[in-house]
Amino acid sequence: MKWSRFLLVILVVMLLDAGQWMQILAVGPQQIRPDLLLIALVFFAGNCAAGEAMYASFLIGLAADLSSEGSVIGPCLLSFGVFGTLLSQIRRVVMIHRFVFQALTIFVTALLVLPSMYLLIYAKTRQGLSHPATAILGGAVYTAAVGPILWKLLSILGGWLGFHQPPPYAMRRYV
Amino acid sequence: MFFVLLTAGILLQITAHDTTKILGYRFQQLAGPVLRIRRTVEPSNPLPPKDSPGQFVSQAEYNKLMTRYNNEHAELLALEKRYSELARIRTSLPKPGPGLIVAEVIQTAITPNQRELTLNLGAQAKFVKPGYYVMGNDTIIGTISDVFKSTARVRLVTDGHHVLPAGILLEGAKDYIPTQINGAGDDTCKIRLLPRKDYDIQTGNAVFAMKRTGFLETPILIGKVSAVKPDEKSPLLWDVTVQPACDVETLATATVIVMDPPDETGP
Repeated sequence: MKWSRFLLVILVVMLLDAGQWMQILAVGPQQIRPDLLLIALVFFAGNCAAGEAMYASFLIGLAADLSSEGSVIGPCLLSFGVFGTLLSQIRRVVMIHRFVFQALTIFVTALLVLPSMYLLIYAKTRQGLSHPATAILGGAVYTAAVGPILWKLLSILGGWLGFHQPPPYAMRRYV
Repeated sequence: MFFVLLTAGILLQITAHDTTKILGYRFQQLAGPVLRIRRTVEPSNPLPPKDSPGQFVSQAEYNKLMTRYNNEHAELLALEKRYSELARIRTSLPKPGPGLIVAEVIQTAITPNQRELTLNLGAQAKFVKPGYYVMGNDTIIGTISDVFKSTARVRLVTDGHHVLPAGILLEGAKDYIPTQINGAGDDTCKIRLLPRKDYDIQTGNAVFAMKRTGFLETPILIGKVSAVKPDEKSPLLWDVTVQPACDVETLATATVIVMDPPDETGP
């Protein structure tokens, strides 16, 4: 993978994710928004080679920490890094090419990443969410719903980013 | 390599937030102009002007709501006026008491035998007790003599049967001359039993209702000495006439000083 281009893409996603224009997508009294960096995490973990996916996951986690509202450094790095790496291992047996599977993978990953992230934020700052269940579930559903769109955009950039998309596990024997 | 990254993450996690947040703030600072870009969302269907009967509800319903609104607005204005009055009293007096109730004067009974006011207290009558002091134009005008369901009767300081602990403050003095003030049955009050050789009372000296535990926390003006002469029956004593500062005959509202106030009384 061409890391400079990857960093540029992550920077753009990071700015989009942290920018005020995302407020137009916010819903409900808790202002739930889709987590674009989480979608990027699932995309890169699902499409890069295992080693690259691990680096990418930690880097995306660091980007999420830097762009977070409270600037709490560490929680996203750990949760994104760990679950992104795990996802890159599982990817070998799970096909995530169809939109439904992409959304489902993003939803399940969000259900793992978001609680651990909020727990780590609480552990570090002693500040928790007023309605964590709503924020986690709402965030996971919203991110999963928006996920395939960003996924498609990132897929278009796949060749430019230079990462090799390995064939699904079931087809490898024929390659 | 995974464990190296994991360890780095744990180290950042356990590092104090005050130390690591600088990284985030630096990013916010650098990317600030981009992050602040946002689209102004204009409502696609702007609300119609306020006065547009029939737009949302029927004309009859609109009229009914407007009537209710006007009544509510009138009540709000009355409450604002009462609040301003209370706030003014609070700031103009040093420490009248824990609570104040502003009440409308609904009846004035000024006869040779009685000098009384009737106040409309409404639901707040339950917080008023006989003996509580009543103010008009920031001066003491009398005390509560009877309390009824929603009204209370005020016996004025000028009533012939009214007696209050009072104090005269001489010009330049720091201490009050303790005494009692009695209603004269006309528009004035009387102070007697003050030895002439001890006190040099002059016309114009201020007379105060004195602090009284459970009723008044600080002296408040009643009026000024309007005449001083030797008592006709006991020439060694003064016969002091006091003119109350407040003209109760034109008084529209009076304020009851409540020593055991409800939560909602007073600003």
